[in-house]
Amino acid sequence: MPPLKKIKKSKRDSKKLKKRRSVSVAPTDCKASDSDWWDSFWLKNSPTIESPLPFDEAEGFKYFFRVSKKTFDYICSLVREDLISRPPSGLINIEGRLLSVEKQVAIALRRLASGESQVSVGASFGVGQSTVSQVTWRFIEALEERAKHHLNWPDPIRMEEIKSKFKASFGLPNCCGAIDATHIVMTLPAVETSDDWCDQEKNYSMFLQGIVDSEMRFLDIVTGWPGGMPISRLLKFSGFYKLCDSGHRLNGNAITNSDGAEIREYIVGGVNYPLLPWLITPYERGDVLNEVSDFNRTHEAARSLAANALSQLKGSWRILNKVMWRPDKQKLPSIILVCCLLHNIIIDNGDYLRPDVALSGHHDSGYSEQCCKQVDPLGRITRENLVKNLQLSNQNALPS
Amino acid sequence: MLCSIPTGKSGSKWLDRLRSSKGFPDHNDLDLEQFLSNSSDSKPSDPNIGPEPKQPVVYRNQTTPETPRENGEREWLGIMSNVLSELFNMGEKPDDLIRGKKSSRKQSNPRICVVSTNVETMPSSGENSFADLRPTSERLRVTREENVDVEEDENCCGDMSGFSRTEVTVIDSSCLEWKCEKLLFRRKNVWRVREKKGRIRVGVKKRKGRPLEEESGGGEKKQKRVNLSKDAVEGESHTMMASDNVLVQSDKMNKGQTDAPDFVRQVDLLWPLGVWFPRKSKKCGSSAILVKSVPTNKKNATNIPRAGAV
Repeated sequence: MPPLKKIKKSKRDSKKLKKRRSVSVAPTDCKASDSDWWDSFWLKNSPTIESPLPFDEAEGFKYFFRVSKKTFDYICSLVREDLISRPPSGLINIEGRLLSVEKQVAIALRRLASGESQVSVGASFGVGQSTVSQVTWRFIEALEERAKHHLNWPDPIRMEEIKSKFKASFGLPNCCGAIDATHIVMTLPAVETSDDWCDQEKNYSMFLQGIVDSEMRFLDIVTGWPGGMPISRLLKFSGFYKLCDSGHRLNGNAITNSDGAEIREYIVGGVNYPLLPWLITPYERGDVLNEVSDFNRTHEAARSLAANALSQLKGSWRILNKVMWRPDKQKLPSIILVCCLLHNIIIDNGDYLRPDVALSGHHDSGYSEQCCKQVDPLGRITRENLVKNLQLSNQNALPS
Repeated sequence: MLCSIPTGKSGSKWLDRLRSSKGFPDHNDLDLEQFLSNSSDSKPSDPNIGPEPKQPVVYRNQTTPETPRENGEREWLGIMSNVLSELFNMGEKPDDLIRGKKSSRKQSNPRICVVSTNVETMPSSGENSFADLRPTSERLRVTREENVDVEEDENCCGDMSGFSRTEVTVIDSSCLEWKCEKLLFRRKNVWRVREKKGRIRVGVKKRKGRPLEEESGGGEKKQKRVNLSKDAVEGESHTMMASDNVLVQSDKMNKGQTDAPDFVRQVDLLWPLGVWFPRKSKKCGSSAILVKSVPTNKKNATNIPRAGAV
């Protein structure tokens, strides 16, 4: 009798193996996947005379997904391994076909770009609301791991390029970037635990702080902190602050003015940030004299890079510019991060944004800028040296 | 339970017996809809019960006048309903409750943002808009005094009584682990942050062939060791994890200097920049979040359009 049992067991094992084989073979059947998604999507959403859609197909692609087809293919290649549909868990559309990676990426990008409801995004692709939800989250999870290399602090060689561009564009020497923060507004249930998310404008919101380079590319972000926190506190809670404070960032060579004054590496920020040795803010309006008004103008021009980047971010990925209905606060930072990664991917791939994409107004419309009174003496000295440097540069630029 | 399939033979007698036992008259001239609409507190009988096409039902209020005891119950129920309505936003009149009509206990118009004694209520959906943000005016540039950000040692282990406690998920690209959970304590303008025990490692899985030591537990300073990526070496980008989970990327170190601070030297983790992409878990959770066009407050009701997350 025991040998019989063994035979049964071996039969069972062979069945299992067969089953496994059949499962592993299934994904290779590409014919079953939905590969003609763009044709049907374009057909369904084709432009009319009244609609603002561009008639050119390539422009139309960009209109819907913010990226060129080339960049779209690159994004697909990044997340393909994570999104490839595998039965039985593979996502299927209404017709019962597996969703291709391309279609999944398109659904997720459209959801993030438009900020439209899952239902309407699903309707435009012929999938249901729950599919949009699942696909978008899978995409976010995949991209936040696979595209990290698109958001990192530059190495010294790259930093020299950034500094030279800031110098060439604005006349600011040794400037490494611009910093700004914006609120991602949401609704939350009216319970006591939501109070900490209430900001000064009586909205529930989450902060996104970004440091951008001369190309408005994000070099550093921090998000997830409540929007009611003072900007100075947001900064202090960030890893960037800790690195700079301990001398491990913005620690490159200082430059020396003709009068011997040193200017270290720094970034520029608005009046809502504290004046620090490595974070230069403008003079307050009351303090502005003729000699520093030039500096304030220059400073504002450089700082506006960060504001423009955030306007572009919120304009490109409109999900961030609309009030989110009770989002999962653990997931919201991932959504924000992925939008920042996509922003950088667009720049890194040499895509240009359609002119009508960026917000026409300020990224944090409705929020007043709160002045931070914190002034570090070394920061004040650096700022004074910058003013002198600008004056000297202007004098040298004048024709003799 | 009532018999649902009466036979043709005993149908009328059975029904008569039932009516008489319950005190109903046995005339058949009452309409079902009339009965249902007027006696909602009674269990509506299944029309299939009766053997005839027109099921004779009774108008309960007519045939069974209220007893004094029932009147008392009704009054008591009305009082309780009023009390409940005061306590909860039931979205209906107490009279409806008396009739036994059930309605959703969810608020039809959720209240928002209770920060002061004034409770603002969501505007009706007519005021909501899905239209994109159209800044009606430029950003308010009038600077005002910032709330005094009280300087406190964020790592101090002081008394946390009186502090509100919020769990936050923070993504910080300057930290070794971009995503981590923290505990945020707040009392007015005092903000303190604590590392949450059991730091999450979203999407980071241990893989064969990639030796990665797990974090040492017990709240001690974490030390890790991973294989130094070839790419990281080639890029001369030396990055280390400081005790406070900050990604240390020293430009000085890039230039060959070795005078790193003590806490940097102690750390033995080398982080391969941008080349470590562990495979994601296939498990995916739905993140369906409803999209409703309800502004967050009255002030910005017209300014901010709405969206749902993911």
